Amino acid sequence: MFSRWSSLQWFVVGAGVLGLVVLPFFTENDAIRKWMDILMIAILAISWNFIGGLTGYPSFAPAAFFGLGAYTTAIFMKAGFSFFTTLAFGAGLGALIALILGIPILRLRGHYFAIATFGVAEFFRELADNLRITGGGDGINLPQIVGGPDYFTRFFYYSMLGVAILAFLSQYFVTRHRVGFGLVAIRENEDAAEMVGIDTTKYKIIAFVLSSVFPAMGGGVYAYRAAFLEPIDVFDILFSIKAIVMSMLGGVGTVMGPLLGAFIMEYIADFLWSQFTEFHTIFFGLIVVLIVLFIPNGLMAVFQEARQKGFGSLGGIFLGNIKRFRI
Amino acid sequence: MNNKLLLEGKGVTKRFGGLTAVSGLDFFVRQGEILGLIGPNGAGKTTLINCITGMNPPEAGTVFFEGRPIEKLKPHVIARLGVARTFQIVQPFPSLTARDNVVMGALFGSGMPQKNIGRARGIADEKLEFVGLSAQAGRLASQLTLAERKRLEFAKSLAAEPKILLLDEVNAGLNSAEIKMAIDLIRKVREQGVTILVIEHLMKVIMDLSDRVLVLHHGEKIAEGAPRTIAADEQVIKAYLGEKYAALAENLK
Amino acid sequence: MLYGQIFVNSILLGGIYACIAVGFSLVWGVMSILNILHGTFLMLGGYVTFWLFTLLGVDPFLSIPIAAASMFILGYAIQRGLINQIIRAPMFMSLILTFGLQLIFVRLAIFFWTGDFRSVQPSYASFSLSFFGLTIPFIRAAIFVLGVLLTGALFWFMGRTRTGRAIRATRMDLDSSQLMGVNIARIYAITFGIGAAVAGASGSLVGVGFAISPVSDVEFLSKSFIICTIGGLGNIAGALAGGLILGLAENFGALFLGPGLQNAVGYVLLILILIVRPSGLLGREGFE
Repeated sequence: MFSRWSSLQWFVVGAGVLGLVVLPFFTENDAIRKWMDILMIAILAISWNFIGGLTGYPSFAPAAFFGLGAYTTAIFMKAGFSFFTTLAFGAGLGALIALILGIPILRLRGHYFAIATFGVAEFFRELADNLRITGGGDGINLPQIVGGPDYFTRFFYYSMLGVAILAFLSQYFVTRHRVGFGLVAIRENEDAAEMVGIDTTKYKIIAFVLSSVFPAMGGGVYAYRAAFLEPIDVFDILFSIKAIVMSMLGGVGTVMGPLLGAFIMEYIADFLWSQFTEFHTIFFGLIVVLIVLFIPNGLMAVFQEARQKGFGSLGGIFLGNIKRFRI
Repeated sequence: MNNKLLLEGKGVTKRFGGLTAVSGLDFFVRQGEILGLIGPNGAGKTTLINCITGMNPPEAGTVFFEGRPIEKLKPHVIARLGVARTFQIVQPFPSLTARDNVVMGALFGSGMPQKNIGRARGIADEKLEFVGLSAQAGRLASQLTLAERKRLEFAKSLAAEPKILLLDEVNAGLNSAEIKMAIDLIRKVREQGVTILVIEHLMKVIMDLSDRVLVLHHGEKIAEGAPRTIAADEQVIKAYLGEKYAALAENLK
Repeated sequence: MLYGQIFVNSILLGGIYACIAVGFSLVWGVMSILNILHGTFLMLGGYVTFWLFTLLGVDPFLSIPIAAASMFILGYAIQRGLINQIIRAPMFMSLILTFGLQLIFVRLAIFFWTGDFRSVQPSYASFSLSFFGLTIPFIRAAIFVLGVLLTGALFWFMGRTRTGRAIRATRMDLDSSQLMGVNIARIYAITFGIGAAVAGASGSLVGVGFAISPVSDVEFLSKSFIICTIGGLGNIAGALAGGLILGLAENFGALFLGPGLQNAVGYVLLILILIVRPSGLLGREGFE
């Protein structure tokens, strides 16, 4: 688990990051926007992985923190603060709320914790719908950014990329550190983890806080770019669901998994949107069903198995996955 | 073996609703000794371990470890002080490899908690070799046999470099060859300076291993002393086998 | 008097809420499945009633059994064909699976029936009864009575029939039940089907008293979550208790906090109950 990366892995990651950084010099604004969306979803998936993947506490809170960050940026930018300052506020507020909420709800196990996070996400949405400071159901406007479409696109792309890199690096370092091992131990057997000397309460809270900070910042970037927010847009539980499904697709609890899942999923979703605008949710739903049935442990696991058994057995591996969880 | 008391309990009481599992128990474990803890099913042995390790804090009484009261501390704090335990029903980390399981013990245990994962892996390999699981280091814990999982749990606790090791029925489900191996390992661990408390059902094991034996029945101490003495104690025989056999044993004396 | 009226409204609402949630509670309590399709079954049941009324003039109360039966078949098929394949996986797998299915169904519903709100207005829709100065709309009262009857029917079924008892047995001990000859795959499919049937029937009732649209399912689902969490899983009484409490909380919440925050009250209750007593007020193992 979490063994050192081979030179090949370093090369791939390095090339990927470099590619993302120079992307805007080689493509049109449309493509850059698409990649920005991919990065945004990747941030949600990576963040979910801290609490859901590594620690085994599936959370629906990414949407809550995303919306929180979005509205924080909106409210504070209207009050005159600079964009990046509001991102810091969003991150701080997200962490604070994760800490405060985390203490009571992280005592819950399994589905109860998941439901509590669902309740939190929905509660935030209802609040945003009804409070004056958020503009209620009418929404809230943000100050517009000054600059032409090229500047506009690149500014937001690089902002999102920055947050994504932060999220990815955090995940990398957590898994290289004792904390990462502790989180996995909690997932595998919480009682045994406590008995081995792991302060499970502290670690769970750390994971939950980490899972809140980056969605909040991502939400802030989204808000500034959209220039207008409605509660239903940013507190959409679909964000949380996508984060979970993408982590599943890539491989829950792995370092590269959420990233991989996010890229593939978002690419497919974008393709579906352009081909079947009317019905793309149907196809998305179908893909979700197929992933749960045939790739429940993620593509990383499938690759590993294929490497052992030979790539010809790919079909067999998918079928084997479906047999594993049957009645 | 000196006379210093590593672990001591005074008046330990644990209730579960209407049931008193452990009642006003006084006990002690000297540094360096092997204490056997026996008693019929339901006597409160595992409950006592849970009280000591903080998993089920006692309602009344005090537990001292190295002179410090620990009964109100959280389990992970107690673990870090140097108290390690194995579970009667093994509790591995199922989808991790055997090595990673033991790494957990090394990373978070009491002796110099290793922040360095590399060094923790080294310790893990050492302990795996000690219990004879080196060949299985890369296999997932869920793929090991029961005997292997017991040894894994043993290795995990050793990796924490504990001062006292609480073993809860390590021999349940093992055959005689495996049991013999377990006894050897326990002796070797004691030689390294670890104090051991063993809960055991098998009389032969307890007699062989223990320096001293403590007998529980219905949550109370009914006998304490050298193994030979315990084996002949009337109360003990009555508790295990019932009145008739106790009378029989008395007549045979 | 105002409080009295609100109280009565809450009771009436609570009855229908209980009936909305009880199918969800069954599936969750017995099979540990968080069925995101639950709201969809309600919605579809409502549409069955609506179309039968609109196209064939069938009285809405008579179409309830049809809605229930059709949802039973759909639920049975989904469980047997899909969910049974992942039943041993961690719980959130079934959640994601049913979520994917929900996306499909809702989109299809929007396609076929548009996103307009529909409601059934039978000729007797405007009757209402008066008791001691309190107004009780006839339809709401009828829905309340039927809702409670439906819940009671489920209670009877679970307690008195062989199938019902087999279902409870599988909850208590899956492996033993299998050894005793219970066909788990079938029992699970039947259980899910029953949950869907009850949801479909409740959806029918809701379609008469309230308006529905393809996106109503989300609200049904959220309320079911809240009700089951507050009341506790594993028994009908829990659904009733949860339904009543939510009804009261929402109505009085609307009175004191304004109609906008009415839903927020429900979520706050959800979180509070989870913190204070996660198993709910009347939660229990198995399903009674």
